[in-house]
Amino acid sequence: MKTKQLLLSTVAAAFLAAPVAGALAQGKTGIVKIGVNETLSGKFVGVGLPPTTAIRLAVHEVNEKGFKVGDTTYKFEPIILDNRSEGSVMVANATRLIEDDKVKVIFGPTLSLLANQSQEITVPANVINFSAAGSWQGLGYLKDPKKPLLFGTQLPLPDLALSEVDAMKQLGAKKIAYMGSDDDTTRGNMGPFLAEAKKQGLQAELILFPYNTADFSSFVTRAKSMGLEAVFFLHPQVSAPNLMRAMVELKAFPKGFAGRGMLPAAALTQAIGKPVPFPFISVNATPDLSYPATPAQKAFADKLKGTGVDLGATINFAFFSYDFVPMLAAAMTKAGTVTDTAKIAAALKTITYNGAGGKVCIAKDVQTAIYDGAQIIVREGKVSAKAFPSSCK
Amino acid sequence: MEEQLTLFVQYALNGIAMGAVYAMIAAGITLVYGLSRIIHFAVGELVMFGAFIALMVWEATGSFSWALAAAIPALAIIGLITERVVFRFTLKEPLTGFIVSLGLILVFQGTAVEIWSPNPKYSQPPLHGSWDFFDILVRKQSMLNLAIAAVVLAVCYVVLKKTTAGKSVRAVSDDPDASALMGIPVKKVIMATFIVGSALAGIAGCIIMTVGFISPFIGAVYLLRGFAVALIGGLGNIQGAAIAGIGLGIAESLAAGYVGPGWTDAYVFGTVVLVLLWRPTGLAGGAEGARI
Repeated sequence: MKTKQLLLSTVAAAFLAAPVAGALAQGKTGIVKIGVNETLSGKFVGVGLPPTTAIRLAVHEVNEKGFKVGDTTYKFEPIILDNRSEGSVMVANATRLIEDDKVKVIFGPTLSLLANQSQEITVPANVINFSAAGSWQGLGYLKDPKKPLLFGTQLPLPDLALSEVDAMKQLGAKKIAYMGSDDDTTRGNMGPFLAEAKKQGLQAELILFPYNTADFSSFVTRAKSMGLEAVFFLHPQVSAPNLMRAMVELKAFPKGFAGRGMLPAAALTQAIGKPVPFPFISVNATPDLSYPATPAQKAFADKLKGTGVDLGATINFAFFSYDFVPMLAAAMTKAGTVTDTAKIAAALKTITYNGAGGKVCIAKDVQTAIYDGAQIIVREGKVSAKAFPSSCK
Repeated sequence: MEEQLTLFVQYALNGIAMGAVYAMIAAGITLVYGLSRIIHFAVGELVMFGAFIALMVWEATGSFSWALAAAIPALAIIGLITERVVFRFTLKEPLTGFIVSLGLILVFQGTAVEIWSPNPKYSQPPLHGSWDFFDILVRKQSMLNLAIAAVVLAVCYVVLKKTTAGKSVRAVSDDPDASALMGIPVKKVIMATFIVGSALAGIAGCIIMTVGFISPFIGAVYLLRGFAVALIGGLGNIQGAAIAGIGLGIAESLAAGYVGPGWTDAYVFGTVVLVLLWRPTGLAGGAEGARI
């Protein structure tokens, strides 16, 4: 009888203990909420949609296996909010993410105008904030020791300026125009370019225009009357074909066009229905997804196409977030915490992540990312692409 | 000196083509206001709809004429629907109509995002190249756009001034109650103006498709300019709208050429404020006693 009781007790105990043992074998699980505060509607939707689409993809991929912090396996839960391209909505979103959702990390906004406002909320709240906003570099935020939790996801502007001025020299121009929409994005980005151009003996004139400019005739006429030989065009990327068409029809900027993050299709077909008669060079702040230079870039481009989301002329902006999600997971693992943002930020600065953008790391002198860049050149209808490999060790 | 004159003419010419588009949008605003006293704030979204419909047909057929031909009836139908379903019930309370039109902006934008995605779109214009007249370069597409706008506005003017239908419109604009006593079908006339006003926005959209990128959110830009032109020309005054539209286009172009280009909008709308301080009813009169 005793033996029978003992046997039954043993079986019952084993039965009851099985789930516990399974749970112990699997380890604990947890959720890390991350905020996304992007322009998913309104006039700057093209800026926010690609990085948000990339975050969805990256989170899905990280969550397939999860990531370990101590003995707990975590998954990300993205809370994606649309700021409708409006400052007031962006502020409300950031406040909600920090105070209600208690997130410790926010991605975006990418748009400089909104990113400048965002950091006023995230810095005092000790929340890590990622953004590609050029103005964060231009205004010195990413060098400010009082803002250690701000991380840029665009290449360092002085590095870009070197490549951009090099493009202008390839065009053989001495007197050039720097054109961009009259906003924080242009003002945040133009400084290093203008300084580098001056250093290299180029005469650069600034021509700004309202963001929604449809007809560039008068701006091009102005540049022509100033004797400017070539143009460097910053943004909006979607206006590049219009500008190039005006250049052809008004016989301006004879030595050519260079710009940041422009798709070659703008010069090949969109501007005048056939290749433009002048050289076109796109200096990319990211790898180029229309001419991916590495298998990792091509795989990422294919995944983006697979989402079915039309990302248009700013598709390359997807690089502004994609690699930083797994990098964040790696930093949390290394820091041993998902809540102590100072420790996570410190860990983030020591990581080199092998991602779609090549070797990705944070620069030493300015807290922004380094990864592969690209130069796309269109001459007489022929496209050549050149990757600039990341300098991360 | 000769060089400066050439440059000035070039700037002026650059501005006329866009000015004609503004005039057309303002004509639609002014027609609707003149009869219903409703300030139709969703007119920018009608322009956007016209642009997208034209783009769809242009890409599908490769014919700009078909694109134009499709945008006009499509927008006319939208105008008819909005009048019958929404604005007819607000005619006695124009302020309600104005608020309803603000709501329509969101409805139209949301619909456009669902149909065409929120991304900006770019299309090839039908005409490329330019003519060179003594170093003044005239863009062919701009001239085609100007010609379309001129013909459309001229037709509107002739219909309003020389036809019985036009006289009915003017009569309703002057005194709807007396017009009704005279046997003029006031509600039908108002409905017709909503249809024509929307069709004008459709034509403007078709032209804008050839000039720059379009997106579901471009409406505000053209609404702002359309209203500025309607105000300068005098609300309810179609000739004033035509003149003020061209004037605004030229002013924009000259501002881009001669003063800080980034401040183009500020200079232009500063001019609007000054004009309205000087002539509160617009350059050609209007407002209180709207004259169509």
